[in-house]
This record gives sequence, structure tokens and C-alpha cells, in this order.
Amino acid sequence: MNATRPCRVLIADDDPDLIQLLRWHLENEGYLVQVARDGESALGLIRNAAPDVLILDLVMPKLDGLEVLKRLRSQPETASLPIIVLSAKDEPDDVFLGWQSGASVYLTKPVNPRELLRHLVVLQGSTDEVSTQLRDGGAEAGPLIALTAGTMRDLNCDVAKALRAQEYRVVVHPNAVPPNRGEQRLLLEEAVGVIAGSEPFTHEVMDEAKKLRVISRNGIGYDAIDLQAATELGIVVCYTPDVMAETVADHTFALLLAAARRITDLDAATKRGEWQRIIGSDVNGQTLGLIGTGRIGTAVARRARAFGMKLIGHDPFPNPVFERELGGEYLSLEEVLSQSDFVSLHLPSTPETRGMVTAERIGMMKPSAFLVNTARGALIDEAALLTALHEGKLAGAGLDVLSAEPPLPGSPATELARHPRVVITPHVASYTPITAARMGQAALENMLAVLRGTRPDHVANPQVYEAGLRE
Amino acid sequence: MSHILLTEQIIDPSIDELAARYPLEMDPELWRDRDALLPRLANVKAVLVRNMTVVDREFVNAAPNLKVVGRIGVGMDNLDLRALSERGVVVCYPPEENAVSVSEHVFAMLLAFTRCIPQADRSVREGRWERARFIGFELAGKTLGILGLGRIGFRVAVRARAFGMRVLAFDPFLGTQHPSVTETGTDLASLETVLQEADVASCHLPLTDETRRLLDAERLSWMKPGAIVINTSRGAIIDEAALCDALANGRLGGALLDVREHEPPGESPLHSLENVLLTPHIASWTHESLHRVISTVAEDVDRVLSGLPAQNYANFPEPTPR
Repeated sequence: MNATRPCRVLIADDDPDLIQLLRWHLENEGYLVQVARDGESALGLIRNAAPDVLILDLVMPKLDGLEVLKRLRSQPETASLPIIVLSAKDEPDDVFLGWQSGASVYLTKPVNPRELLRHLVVLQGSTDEVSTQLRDGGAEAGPLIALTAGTMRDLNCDVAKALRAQEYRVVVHPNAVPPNRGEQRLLLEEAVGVIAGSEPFTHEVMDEAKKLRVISRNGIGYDAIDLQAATELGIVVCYTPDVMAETVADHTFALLLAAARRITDLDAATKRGEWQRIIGSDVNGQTLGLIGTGRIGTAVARRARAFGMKLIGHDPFPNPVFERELGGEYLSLEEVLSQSDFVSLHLPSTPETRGMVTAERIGMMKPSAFLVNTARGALIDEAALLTALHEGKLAGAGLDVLSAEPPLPGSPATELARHPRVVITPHVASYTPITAARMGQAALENMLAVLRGTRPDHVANPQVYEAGLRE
Repeated sequence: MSHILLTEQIIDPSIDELAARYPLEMDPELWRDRDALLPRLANVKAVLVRNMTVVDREFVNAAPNLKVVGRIGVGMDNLDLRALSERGVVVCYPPEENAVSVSEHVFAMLLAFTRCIPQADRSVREGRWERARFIGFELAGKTLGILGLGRIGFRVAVRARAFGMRVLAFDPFLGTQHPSVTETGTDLASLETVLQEADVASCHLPLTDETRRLLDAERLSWMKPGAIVINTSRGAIIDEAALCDALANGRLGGALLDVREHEPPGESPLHSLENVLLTPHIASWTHESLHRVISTVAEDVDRVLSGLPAQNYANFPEPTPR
């Protein structure tokens, strides 16, 4: 939203008291407020008045909020409209449905106006004219770039600015969860490049996106991209392996220590006024088993050494740093699993590694051991992990990743996320401003290199250069 | 009549071994009831306490046969060391045995806080997937200010370096060539400098007359806006009301507290603040540490009762001016 025009907010709600409360707060902050009292008039107002942000109640007469949400997300004009959903439903499955249907933010009632205002500021800063510009017709006809990676909305506003300064048009995916198939189709329809999150790029997706020349992963894993199809279609896939090791290693240790010392339980109980002194476990003198000893695995090992842990590891590609500098010992996968007090996964998801943490291998671990995963959810047989935790065959787990994100209701991943011996975070191991900025910059440079006809540093499908690039 | 009296809950195989050799009694709630406690001391030769039993001059006078106090922990603020030393009572304690657990807990809290672990965990459990809400910050390049570079502070410094932190420490008892300084790459500085430069300040001090409310409103105001305070030592070192004000008005970025002015604290305005992480005085409560601490003290109590010198004791002769 540019400085000369106030931000226009549409409130779609049928509760007069809430409308009055929100209107008062928003107008005090300089927002222009419009109101729709049912779903149909909300859609009409959005078509005619093109608000910058929609605040949407889920339970409304005529057309309910979820339906409004789905319709808006299926139209190109409103596919990237920031939408704050308000709902009285706070059951996990309801909240999930809201996210999945395309909410940018999901707030449960009673609404705290200050929290709502905070979200508005974030959404405004991030979309920063771009979605408005797209909806207004995108006067300049530069090539289009889609930004779908999660951090692009909240942490990499400057990436959009940098692109626009170079005469690109930009569309930002505004939702908290990765784009679904329909949203992805809209975002990529015209795009020549995409800075992508973890959403899948199948042959079909890439074939439909006729102008797409580069998929620049804002991150280290490219397991969701069909590399062979990308190569066939002449699309370059690049990624950013160099920037995130230290912050992911910090987060790995945060999960490991939180699980060992029951931090989440203790903090919650103490804030309730209880004084329940639960006994934890030391990590000093314990054995840390690293499955994967690349950049992130060795960064974790360096921290573990300062905590006085014994280091063992398994990696088909041994890293001299792990053995010589950090004093780690390479063993077979089975030995690492059976000897470790903490097992941490630091390897990519590939056809070979998918599901590698099987029921049988979990069974090799000590009942007192903890499993930590900041790599990819697909590495673990989640049903087997859940069973092991239920049966007390494992002391606990610290997870930042799941096989589907967010997890599907009723799936083992959802059960895992709610298990009392699990500490869970929503794939944020690399989510810090410094790393996000470095990663966004690297992903931007990789993408621009391809568009300018030069070769970026980290290409996941180098064969594409022999097969021939898309024009 | 028992030779050994345990006035708080102290359970370990090493206590069973002591009980096999000496008449021993444990009364976990005895520390609460002074009137019941004092008469029980008449014939006692050894007392084992945690941090709740107040061992003052009155206590010592009520225990004419007392030879040794076993302190299960390192804080001496509930013991009148002078009164005990005057009467020749040895105070045994475990100087190193819980330091590792405490230093690990400091990082468990610090990382949980900087990476929003409790909030993120709750959010995912509720069915949400709010990545943007849980943007953390990195420890690398941040300055850790350690108040008290003793056995625990030293171990915190070692770990901080592995996270790429710069370490500054205030410790009036250490010179620049002390191994805790030289071997951790720590810079010693005044209390004022440490508080002014620290992104994270962690207290590892004993509670004494000099350290009580060391972090009062004024000293807290020396800290950077947004800085984090960690306390795993003694609650009374920080003025909790002043801390609460600085947190509520957003001047300080966070407080990670394992210890409180009153324990248990009951109702407290701290409990409803978002930028606070709280644990119930369990920094040293790991299976490993509890066993090491109790068995080390039990061994020394046995030695003193058998006429041998203790290996670890807290009494020091007071220097007498000529």
C-alpha cells in the first residue's frame, strides 16, 4: 500500500458489537473500514471496491466464510488478497480447515484488537503494493516473478522491492501455509521465475506453467521438486545450502534440550501457578548419534562437543571435519541407533532415505533415547514413531518437520504433534531474520542469474544445461 | 535416637547405604515446623538439608552433638556458616556435582526462549501452522554477560562459545589469568559494562548480603533495550517487581527464571507475561545430577562421622585482624 492512500480494510461479519469494536480500533489507526454483513455482499464489495485486506468471519448468513474464502482463492484477482479469518471454532481440526482453505491468519474469538492490528501491520508490510498492483492490472508489463516461500511474506519484503526495482512484476503468496494446487496454478500462470517454499512441483505443475524458467528454492531441500521433469522441460532448479547450518543447529539443540528438560511442560505448569519439580536428563556424557554429518550435522556436533557429549554418526559420505576436528566416530546405522541417547537426523529426503526410520529401526533405539528431526518429516515412519512413544519404547521426540505440513487431521503426524512426549515446532528451524535475509538474498541471486543467462552456484539439476533451457 | 536427621526429601541409594550404617531418619516436611524440628536435634550428629531448612545460630545451639551438616546443593544462604564454624561443625557440600545440569538448563531455557519453543509447540498442538509468528533469533554474534564466573558460570561460558557467542563476565574474585577466563575466551568487565553490553545476562552468584537485589530497578535500567535476563541462582538476587515492570513496559526483552523471590511463588504478575519463561527451581534436577550431589555429600557425612576429614567443605576460617 503506498503512502498516499490509506489501507482499505473490509470487515465481513454479522456481529454488530464486534464490527463496532473493530471499526473503532482500525479507524483510530488510520485504516479505511468497509463492512459487509453476509458472505454474498462481501464478495460483491471485494469485486467492486478491491480492499487491501479482508477480515472474514466464518459463520455468516447467506454464504458462510469458508465458502467465501475458497471462492476468493480460486479467482486470480483475489488469490493473493491477505485474509484474516475470525472464528469461534478453536478445535484443531477447524483451525486446520481455515488454514487449508486459504487464511493468511486465523484468529479465534474473542478477538484481541491489538493482536489483529499487529497482524495487519505484518500483512501490509509484506504484500507492499504488489498484490494490489497485480489486481489493479499491473500497468507495467515486466516479466512476472512468484514468491511463494513462507519467509517472503513476512521477512523478505526487500526481495519483492529489489525485483520491482528491476522492472519485474511480483506476486506474493499471502497464506500461512504453502499454496495448494489451485493457488499454485494461479501464481505460476504467467511467472518466469519462482522463489519457492516446500510446495510440490510435479511434472504437471511445471508443464502448465509455460513461461517458468527457474525454480529457486528458498532453502536447502528440493525433495518436493520432480528434478527429472524439470530437466526435461528445461527448468533450472537451484537451492541455498550455505546459509542455514548454524541456525538449524541452534534449533536442533533447542528441541533436544527442551525435550530432555521438559521445558514446555514446566513453563506451562509454572505459569498456571503450580510448582511441579519434574526431573530431567543431562546431556553431558550422553551419546549423540547424527544420521547425516554434512553442514548442519557438523554444526550440531560442534555444539554437542561443548556440552561434553560423545559423538557418533552415520553417513555414506564421511566428512573429515566430523572425525578429525570434532572427534566423532562413524558407525553403521544400526550401531548409531542402538548406542545413542539422542538421535538427530540431518539428511535430505530422497527415494533412498524416505521412510528410513522404520518401526524396526526405532525398535533398535534405547527406550530412554530421544529422536530429534529438523530435516524432513518423510524420513520417519510416523505411525511407527507414534506407537513407540505410546508404548514407552522411546523417551520422547523433538520435531520441527512432519510428513505433511500442516499435518492432515486424523493422520499419525497430527497425533504425534499432540503427543505429550513430543516437542513440536512448525518447520521454523531456519526462521530467524538474519538467516531468512541471507537465504532470501541467495535465492534471489540464484534466480536472477538464471534469468540473465548465467549459471548460479547451486543447481540441483545440472543436467538441464546439457538438455537445453526453456526460452 | 537418630544419629542422622534428614529434614527435607532426600532420596538416593547412597542414603540407604548411610541408613545401613547409622541410625537415620527422614522427615521431609520437618523444615516447615520449627517447633517440632528443634527438639529433634538434641542428640543428632549429622543433619542433611536442601535449601529450605534454615540452619541458623538457634538451630546450632539446639544441636550440641552436631558434627556435620550435609548441604544437598551449592547455595549457602540458608546456613549460618559462621555459627557452624564457631562450633566446629563441618559443612559438606557438592561443589561441582550439579554445575553441568545447571549450565545445560541455562541453554535449554535460552534456546527455548529465542526459538519460541513453548508458544510454537502449543500452537501446533492447537492445529495451527503459524511459521511467521515464531521467528526466532540467533545466538551467534550475541553477547552473553555472565554474573559470577564460578563453576557454573565457567561451564555456561564454554557452551556459549560453541554457539558463537561473545562472552563477558563480571566476577570480582577472579583475575584475568584464572583458567575460567583464559580457557573460555571470556573478557572480564565491571558489573556496569557487562549489563550495558549484554544481549543476554545470566546470574550465577551466591545469595549474600552483597548480592541481595543486586539487579534492582536501577541496574536493570542499565541493560540494553530488549535484553534478556536469566536467573538459575537465587531469586532474591533480582528485584522481581522491578523486573516485572521492565518486562511489562517492554524495556527488557525477556526473563527466564528458574528461581524466585518466594518459592513456590503463588500468584504473580510474571505468570501472565508473554516474554517470560519459567521453571520451578529444577535447573539442577536431573537424574544424573541428583545422584551425584546426594552421593557426594553422603560420602563426606560418612567420613566426618568416622573421624576422617571431609573432602568438600564450605567452612573457611574467618581471617582475624591482628
